[in-house]
Amino acid sequence: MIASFLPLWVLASSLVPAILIFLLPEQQRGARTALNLTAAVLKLVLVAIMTWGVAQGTVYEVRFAMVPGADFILRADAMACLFAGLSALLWFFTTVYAIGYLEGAPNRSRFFGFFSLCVASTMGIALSGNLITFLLFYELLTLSTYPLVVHRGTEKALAAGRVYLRYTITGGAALLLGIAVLYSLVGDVEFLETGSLRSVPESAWPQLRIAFALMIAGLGVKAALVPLHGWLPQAMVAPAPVSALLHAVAVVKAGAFGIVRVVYDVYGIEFARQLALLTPLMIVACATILWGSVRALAQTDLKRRLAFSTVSQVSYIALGVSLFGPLGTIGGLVHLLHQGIMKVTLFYCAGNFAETLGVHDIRELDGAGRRMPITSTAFTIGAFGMIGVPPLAGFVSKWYLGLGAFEAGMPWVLGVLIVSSMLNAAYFLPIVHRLWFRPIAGAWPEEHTFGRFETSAWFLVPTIATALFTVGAGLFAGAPFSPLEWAMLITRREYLP
Amino acid sequence: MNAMLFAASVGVPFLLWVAACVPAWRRTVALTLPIAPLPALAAAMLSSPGTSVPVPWLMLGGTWALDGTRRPLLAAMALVWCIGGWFALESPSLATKRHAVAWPWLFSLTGNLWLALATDIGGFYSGFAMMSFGAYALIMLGDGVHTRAAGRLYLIYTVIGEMALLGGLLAASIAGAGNQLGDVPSAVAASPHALWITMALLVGFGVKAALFGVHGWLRMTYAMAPAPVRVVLGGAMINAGVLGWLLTLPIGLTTLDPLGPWLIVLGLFAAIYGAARGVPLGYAPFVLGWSSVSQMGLITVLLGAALASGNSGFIPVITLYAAHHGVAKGALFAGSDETLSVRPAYRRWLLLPALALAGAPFTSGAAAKLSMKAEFAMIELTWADPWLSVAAVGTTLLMVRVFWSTERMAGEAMRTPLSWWLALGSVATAVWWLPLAADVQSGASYLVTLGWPIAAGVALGALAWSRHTPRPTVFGERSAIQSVDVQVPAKSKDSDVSPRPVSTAGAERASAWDARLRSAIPVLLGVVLLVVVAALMTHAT
Repeated sequence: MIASFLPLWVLASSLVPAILIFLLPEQQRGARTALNLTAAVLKLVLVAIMTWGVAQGTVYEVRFAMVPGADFILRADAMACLFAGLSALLWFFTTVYAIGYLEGAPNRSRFFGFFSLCVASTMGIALSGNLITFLLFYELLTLSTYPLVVHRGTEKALAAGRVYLRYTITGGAALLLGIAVLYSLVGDVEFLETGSLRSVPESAWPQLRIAFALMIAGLGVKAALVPLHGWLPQAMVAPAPVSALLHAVAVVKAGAFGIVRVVYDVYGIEFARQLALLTPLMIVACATILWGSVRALAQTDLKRRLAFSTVSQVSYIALGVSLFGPLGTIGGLVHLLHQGIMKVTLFYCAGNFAETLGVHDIRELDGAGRRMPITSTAFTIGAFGMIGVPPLAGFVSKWYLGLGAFEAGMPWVLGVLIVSSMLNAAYFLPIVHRLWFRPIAGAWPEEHTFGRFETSAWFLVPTIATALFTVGAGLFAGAPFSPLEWAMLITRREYLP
Repeated sequence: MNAMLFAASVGVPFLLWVAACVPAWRRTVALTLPIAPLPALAAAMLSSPGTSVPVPWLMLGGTWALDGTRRPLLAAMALVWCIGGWFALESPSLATKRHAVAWPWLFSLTGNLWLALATDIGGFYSGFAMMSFGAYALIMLGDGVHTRAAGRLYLIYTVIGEMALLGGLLAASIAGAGNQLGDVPSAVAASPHALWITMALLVGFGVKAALFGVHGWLRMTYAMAPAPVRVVLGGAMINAGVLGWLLTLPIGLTTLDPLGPWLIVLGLFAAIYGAARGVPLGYAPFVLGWSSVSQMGLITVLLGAALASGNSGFIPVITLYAAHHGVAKGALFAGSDETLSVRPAYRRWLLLPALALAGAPFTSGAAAKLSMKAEFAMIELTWADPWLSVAAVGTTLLMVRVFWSTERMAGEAMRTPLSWWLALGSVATAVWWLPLAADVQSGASYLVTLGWPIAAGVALGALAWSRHTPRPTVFGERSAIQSVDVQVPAKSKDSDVSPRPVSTAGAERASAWDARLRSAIPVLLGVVLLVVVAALMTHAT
C-alpha cells in the first residue's frame, strides 16, 4: 500500500514543504533551511527506492478520477524515473546552492516556497501517467517559475517575466489544443511504453498529425526550439540558482521531456515514423542546434552565452528522439540527464564568478582560475563535457547520437553534430583559455571574500558534486545505474519486440 | 604481475596527477615526472605477450592489451616521456614553473599511456583527447611573445582533428567494429565508404602525427613550447598519432586504390618539402619541426604503399620507423634547448641522434631505413627510389643545420643535464631494444647504401656553412625567431608565475627536500635505466 503510493509520496515531498515554507515567517532561517534540506534528501531517497523498484520491473501507479472521462494518473515507469531522478538529484544541489546564494536577501520565504512548488510541478511532469495530468503540472510549472524569474523585482526582471509568461502561456494553449484534438479522436490518452495510438484508423491520421504539431509547438516553447526560444536568453536575469534550474531541470527539460513522452509513449516511435512526424522534428532540432551555437558565439555576457548554449544543447534530445532507431533514442535520453548535469555545473560556476568576483562579462574572467581554481576547474569540466570531449558525459551523448544518425540512415546529421561541436569549442574554449592562461587584469569588479575557501562552501559543494558527476557519467558510463545504462533500459522497453 | 604492470602504467601517472591537483604538493609531485612513465616502460618490456586486462567499468567497457604494434611504440613513448620528464626538472626553461608543469604533464602522460593500452574505441579516444588537450596547457608554459598564438593554432588543429576522428570512429563503429578498436580495420575495409572513413581517420590522427596538410600548427608550437615539452610533443605524442593510424587503417585488408598512390606522392613531397623549408632556418626547433614533417612524410609514403599494395608487412616497418624517430627526435629536442648552456663538447653529442635520424650505419635509423627499403623492393616501388634518396640527403642537411644553429647557443660552462645522457643512451641502444626487422649488417655495400646520402648531405652542408654566417631570417619567420632570441627566461609575463609567498621555514625545508630528492632521482633513475636496458637486451635476444 505504502509502496504503491510511492509516486504520491514523491510529489508530496516537495508539495508539503512548499506550503509549510509559505507559512514560515521570513526570519525563521534555520527552520526553513532544515525543512528544505530534509525535503530534498527525503525526495532523493524516495526516488532512489522508486528507481530500484522500476529497475526490477515494478510499476507504481496512483489513479483517481478527476472528472468523468479523465483520470488523474501518477505512474512511475522507467522514463519517469529518468526525469524524476535527474530532478531530485539536481534539486538537492540547487537547494544547497540557493540557501547560500540568498543569505541575507529579502523575500526568502516566497523564493523557497515557489522553489519547492516548482520542483513539485517537475515531479508531477515526470510522474504524469496521461496527457491531462501532464498538462496540469505543465501549467503549474509555468505559474510557479514566474515568481522565481522576476524574483529580483527590477525593471529588467519584470520585463523578462512578461516575455516568459507570454511565450509559455501561448505554448500551454497550443499544448491544450493539441490534447483536445487528440481527446476528440480517442479520448483520454495514457502514456504507454511503445505508444497507444497505433490502432487509430488511417482516416484520422491527418488529425493525429495536426495534434502532434500543436503539442510539439506547445512543448517546443519550453524546450526552446527555434524559433520559439526567445524567452530563454532573457530569463537569465533571474538569480543564478533559478537559471541553473530553468536550464538544467525544470522548464527547458520539462519541454524536452514532454516531447519524449509524446513521441514514445503517446504515438510510439514506430507509429510516429509511420506518420512521417520524425523528419520535420529532426529538421527543427538540427536548425536549433546550429542556430543556438551560432548565437552563443556572439554573446559576451557569460550567462547569456550559456543560455544560447542551452538552446542548442537541449535540441540534442529532440534530435535523438527524432532519429529512428535504438541508438538514437539512447543518445537523446542520456543527453536529457547529461545536459542537465553539465549545464547546472556551468550555471553554478557563472553564479560563483558573479557572486565572488562580480564578474558577469566573459572578458572580465581573465586569470580567474588563479583566484578561484575549484570553480574554474568545474567550469572547464562542464565546458569540455559540452563540447563532447571524451571521457566526459557529453561525449557519451554525442557518440550515441552519431551512431543513431548512421543507424537511421542519415549520416548528414553527423555533420550537424560535428559543426555544433566545433561551435561549442569556439565559444567555450576561449573562456577556458581566459580562466587559466591570461594574467589577472587588475582588481575584480566587485570582490567578496568568504572565509577559508575561494567562495562560499554553499556554492562550492554543489559545483564540485555536479562536476564530478559530469566526469563520472562519462568515465563510468558502463556502470550499473549510470545514465547510459538507464537510457538503454528505457530503450529496450520502448521498441516493439 | 602483468595485470599489475598494466594497471600501474596508467594508474601511477593518474594518481600522481590527482596529487598534483593539490596546489601545495605540486612542486614535490613535479619531481616524479621522470619516474611516472616507468611502469609503462616496464609493461612494454616485461609483460608476457598476449596479456589482456579487462576494464569493464571504464567508459563503455574494454580491455587493456599490448600487441606487436603497441609494444615497441609504448616503449619508445614511455622512454621519451621519461627523458622529457627528467629534462623538465633540469631545463632552465621550466625552472621557474616547476609548480605549473606537473599538472598538465601528468594529465597528458596519463592520456598517452591510456591510449597505448586501450583496445576499446572509447578508451583510446579518451586517452587521445586527454593527451591532446593537456598538451595545450604544456605549450602555454612557454615564454615567447607568440606563445598564445601558437597555442591557439594548436587548439584549432586539435579540435579539427578530434572532429575528424569522431566522424571516422563513429562510421567505423557502426560499420561493424562496435566498441572494439581491433575490429576497426576490418570494418572499414568491408564498408562501402572505406575511402571516406580512411580519410577521416588519416586526418584525425594526422594532426598529431604531422601529416602534411594538417601540419600547420607544428612549426609555431615547437618554437614556442619550452624545450622539455618539445621533447614529448615531437618524440612521444607524435607517435600516438602513428599508433592511431596503425590500429585503425585497413592496412593489408584492402587496396584503397585512389588513396594509396596519392599518399605516396604526398609523403614524398612532404619529405622533400620539409627538408627544403627547414634547411635555410637558423633556429633549431624550427629546423627540427620541419624535420618532423619530413620524417612523417616518409611514414606517409610507407602508409600509402601499405594501403596501395594491401601488404600488412608494412605495419612492423612503420612501427619501427616511428619508434626510432620518436626517440631520436626527443633527444634532438633536448639537446637543442636554447636556454641550456652546456659546454660545446657536450653539445657535440647531438651528433649521435642526428646520425641516427639520418640513418647512419649501425644506428637504429639504419635498421629502420633498410627495412623500409626491403619492403619497398618487395612491392616494386622503384620509381620512388631517387626521391627517397633526395629526402635522405635532405634529412642529413637538416641535421647539419641543427648543428650549425646550436653552435651559436653553446654558452658558458654549466653542468650537463643528466637527462641528456639518458637520451643519448636511449638512442645509442635503440638498435638493440627496438624489434628491428633488418639486422645490422656489415660490408661495403651496406656502408655505401647508407653512407652516400649522409656524405652528400654533410658535404653540401659544410660547403654552405663555410660560406655563410647563419642568419635566422627566411620565409617570414624572422619575428618569431627574434622573439625567441630576445626572451628572458627567468622573467615571465605573468607575475603570478613566481612561487607563492610561503613562510620561509617551510620554503627552506621544501627546497632542502627538493635538493635531496633531486640528487636522489638521477641515481635512482640511473639504476632503473640500467635494469630496464639490461632487461630489454635480454628480452630482445
